[in-house]
Amino acid sequence: MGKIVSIHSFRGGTGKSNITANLAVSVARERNRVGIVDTDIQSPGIHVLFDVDVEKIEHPLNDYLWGKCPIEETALDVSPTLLDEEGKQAVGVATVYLIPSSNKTKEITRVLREGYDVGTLNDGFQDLIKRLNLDYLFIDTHPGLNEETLLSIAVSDILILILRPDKQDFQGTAVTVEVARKLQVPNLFLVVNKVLPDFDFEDVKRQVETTYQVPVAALLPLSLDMVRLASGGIFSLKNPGHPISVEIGKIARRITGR
Amino acid sequence: MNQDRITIEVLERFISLCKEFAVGHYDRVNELLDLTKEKEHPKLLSELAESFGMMIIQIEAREFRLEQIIEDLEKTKKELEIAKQKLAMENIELKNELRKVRIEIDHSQKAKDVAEITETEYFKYLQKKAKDLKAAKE
Repeated sequence: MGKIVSIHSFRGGTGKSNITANLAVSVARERNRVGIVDTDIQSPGIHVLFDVDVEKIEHPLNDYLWGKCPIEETALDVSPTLLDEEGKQAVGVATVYLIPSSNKTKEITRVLREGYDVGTLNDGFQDLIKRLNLDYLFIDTHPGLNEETLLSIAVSDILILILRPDKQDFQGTAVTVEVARKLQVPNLFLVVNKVLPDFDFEDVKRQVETTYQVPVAALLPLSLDMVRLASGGIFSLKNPGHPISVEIGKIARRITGR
Repeated sequence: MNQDRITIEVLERFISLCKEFAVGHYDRVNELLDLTKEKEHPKLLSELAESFGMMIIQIEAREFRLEQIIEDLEKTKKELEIAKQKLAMENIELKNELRKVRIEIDHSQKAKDVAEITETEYFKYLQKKAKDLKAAKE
């Protein structure tokens, strides 16, 4: 049975989509079949990292939610676009599917205006795993704690909370951790992102773990290299030796348990 | 009588050599070795010179070893002093460079926010859903 991995943060701008994309690819490279659902329906964005031409998306996730198509028809195989630094296919025999949300204003406002049955979304997750024979389904959530985010947390086997070392994120993460505990998420990890290089990393890790009583899977330094690449592909494929890529690898191994 | 005078002369030479050895001067050790020649000196005297000669060699070897140990210790002491200075410098740099994070949680605000989310019907439905899913997987 495939596992659901939700990547979440209390506020936006934590680098959530970027980390999700890099993690999913990293896990796929260990010969796993992987799917990524962009449930950030209000502000979708992860497709940009996979170089997906939005005009060519036949069925976004929205179509499934409106009952226009079965969930597997929303899945795009993005594996061929994933190249390593030598330009070779990066995931080999494994597959990475992306389930994008529509970035069309009309579709987005319809979701906001009419809402949808979050139960349908959950059925979609379960069907994706079964029908695409996935080992891992990654869910890129909308920041905050709205209904679909709570659902994603509730059905997760693994929840990764991303935070920056600042006051608002510390407070919001405390709320999210408590909520996740009440939903009995089996595996919960924290990732501290955008840590300024002049911070004492060991101290940050220790303090975060003590405060939340949750293991820190990785601390990612604020990196100009990452900012420069921003939306231009999968960072860890292009920079395999970079400290951020090394840390991403560590989180991936936490997920796969290797 | 003549023989006694010679013996006294030899003994006096012996005493003067011992005085030099006592203060760590071993340059005249060859003169001591001359006294070991049995044909020229009485047997007892040459045996005594032989024992003294052996003693000097052993003392000299021991002194040489001690000097080497002292030299090594001094070298190590110097290295330790350099390492200590380097460590002190690095500590000063670390203190100046690394910022510490301060995590403050407003617990009453947190409790309020958590309650707002978890005391809804939807949340209770989710809790049940999560439980069912886990049970189904097991």
